Amino acid sequence: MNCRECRKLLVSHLEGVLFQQEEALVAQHLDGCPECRNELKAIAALRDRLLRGGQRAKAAGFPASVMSKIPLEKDFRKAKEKNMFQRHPLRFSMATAAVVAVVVGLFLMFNKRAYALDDTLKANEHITSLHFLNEMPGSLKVDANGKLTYEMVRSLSEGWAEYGEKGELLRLRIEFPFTEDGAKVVVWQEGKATVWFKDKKGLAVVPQPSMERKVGELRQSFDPKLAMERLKEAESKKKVQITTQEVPEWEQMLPIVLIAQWSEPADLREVYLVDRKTNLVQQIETFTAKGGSTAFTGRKRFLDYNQPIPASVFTLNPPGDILRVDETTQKIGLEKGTLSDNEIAQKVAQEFFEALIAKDYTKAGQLYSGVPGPKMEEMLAKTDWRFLRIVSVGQPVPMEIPGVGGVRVPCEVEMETGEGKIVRPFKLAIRAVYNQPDRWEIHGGF
Amino acid sequence: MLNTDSECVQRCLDGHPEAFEQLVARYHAPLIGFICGRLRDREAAEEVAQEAFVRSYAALASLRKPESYYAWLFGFADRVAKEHLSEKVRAKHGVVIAQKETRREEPSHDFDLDQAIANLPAPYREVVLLRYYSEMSCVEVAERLDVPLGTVTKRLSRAHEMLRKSLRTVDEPLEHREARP
Repeated sequence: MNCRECRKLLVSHLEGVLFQQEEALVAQHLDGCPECRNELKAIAALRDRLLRGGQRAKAAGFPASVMSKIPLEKDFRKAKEKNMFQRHPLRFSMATAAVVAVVVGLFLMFNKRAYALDDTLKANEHITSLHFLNEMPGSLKVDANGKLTYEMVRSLSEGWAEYGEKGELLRLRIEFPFTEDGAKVVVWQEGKATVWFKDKKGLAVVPQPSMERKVGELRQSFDPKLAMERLKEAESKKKVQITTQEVPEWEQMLPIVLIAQWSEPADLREVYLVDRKTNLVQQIETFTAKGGSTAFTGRKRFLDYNQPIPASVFTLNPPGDILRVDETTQKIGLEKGTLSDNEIAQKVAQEFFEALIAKDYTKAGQLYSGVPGPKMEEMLAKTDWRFLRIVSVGQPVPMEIPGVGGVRVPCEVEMETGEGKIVRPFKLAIRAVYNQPDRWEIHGGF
Repeated sequence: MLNTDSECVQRCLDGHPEAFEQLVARYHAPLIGFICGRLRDREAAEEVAQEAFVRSYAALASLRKPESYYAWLFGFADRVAKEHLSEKVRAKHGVVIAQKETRREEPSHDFDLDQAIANLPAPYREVVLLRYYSEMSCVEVAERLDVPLGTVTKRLSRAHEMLRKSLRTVDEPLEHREARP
């Protein structure tokens, strides 16, 4: 064996695939040839480098990661039928082929199982629980370093809902980080609603009848069932035009995109993302068209469907020193009856100061957001005020802070203070009790 | 139990997607190595490889020769790698990726080797990746490619020669290269 013949076999020698006879000849040649031994070393070094390269290229968890991304439910049967047809060995005349193509086309067109809104309505029937987020466009903010930042979205509310077997709402918790009352948490279950005013440090238990209506309103803002039913109804009334965006075959793991262009209300556009596997809505974004440009106005996100929600989510644990008002056992404010908003507001202001002059703290507290009498007395003891006489209860003006509702009632009261007798002005903020439009109370301005 | 590529493909088509995992386990290392050679970016290579697998799965019904899944998969990888390199695709997906000033080259990764393999003519590249990246023996490679063992060893020998040549060019300092006639 010469060097040229030997070198041709060196890779096979290292791979251990030479026949015995060849192997013996190679070994014999290598024994007596330092050049070929050097060549063998060089090949072995590259072989090691290749094996190391192979080891490095392996990625732990890679197969699992790929498997999590492939559309497992993909039905290949239709594609196979189509391919079988294409590959059929029979040769058709051009005319026959054209006819067959039309027939097959029609068959595929009518046989194609495209997504329809009803799929989501059906899937919605089986929702047992839900975790959702409502967001609105963010705004420019100045951070601690004086730097301008832009937050893309701002959370309006986050919530958890549990449904019964017939799709009825069983339990609900919604957190509102920013409201006119500051941060607020509402928990509703067993017909009883508890509202925790986190910033105002108050907890109110709200009676059932008024709350049912409120929960109904809240549901409109988060319930994907209602959202899809509304869309379906609007579609049948031709108030909205829905288009489904096609995605390429290989992007079948992406959600279905529905674009709903409303004609009533005009200029409203909604983009729905629907999970291809479950047919459940993942996200609804709303936009309005303003003078040729489209503005993002809000987004609802449905994070977890049908996941068990721990009972603790529906239990509020406010700090012990919080002001607790149980509106189911205690009447708050005054009944409005047939009075106008301004009349009831003036009546509440009038009776509030009368109670303070009479030192009836229970009555005053009842009018002042249901604060218990002793607490009311304690609050006033910290001042050196003594109420003597109502000078005037003025004409109510609309509340200047948007979203708060109710009115402000300007009042003047004569009182004894450390500085002697003075007439002091108040601007009591008065509005309907939370969820009880027939009862009015003072909620500030005192 | 390990199935052949054909069997895996057939099982996927029959509604057993889990069979696809065998193909991924079998070919991800050669695929990542191959793409690393193209992109010189390990992280991007994994993303591209993943995308190539997913696309190949979605198009599985159109694979005419299930026994050639491996070569077919590389076709997808080639396309995705090209897309990755094109700004057009980035714009299409609305993702603005800042231009990297220098390519990220982790010292631990032998990009020169991967690149040299990627530049081999396809028949040679195939045996190298199957033998060293998929950890198949020469006999298994011959079975997989349905060629005689001698063909595999000849290709492997020739591939070694070509790799040594291209790696020598890369590894040698510049002045030596210039001094060569």
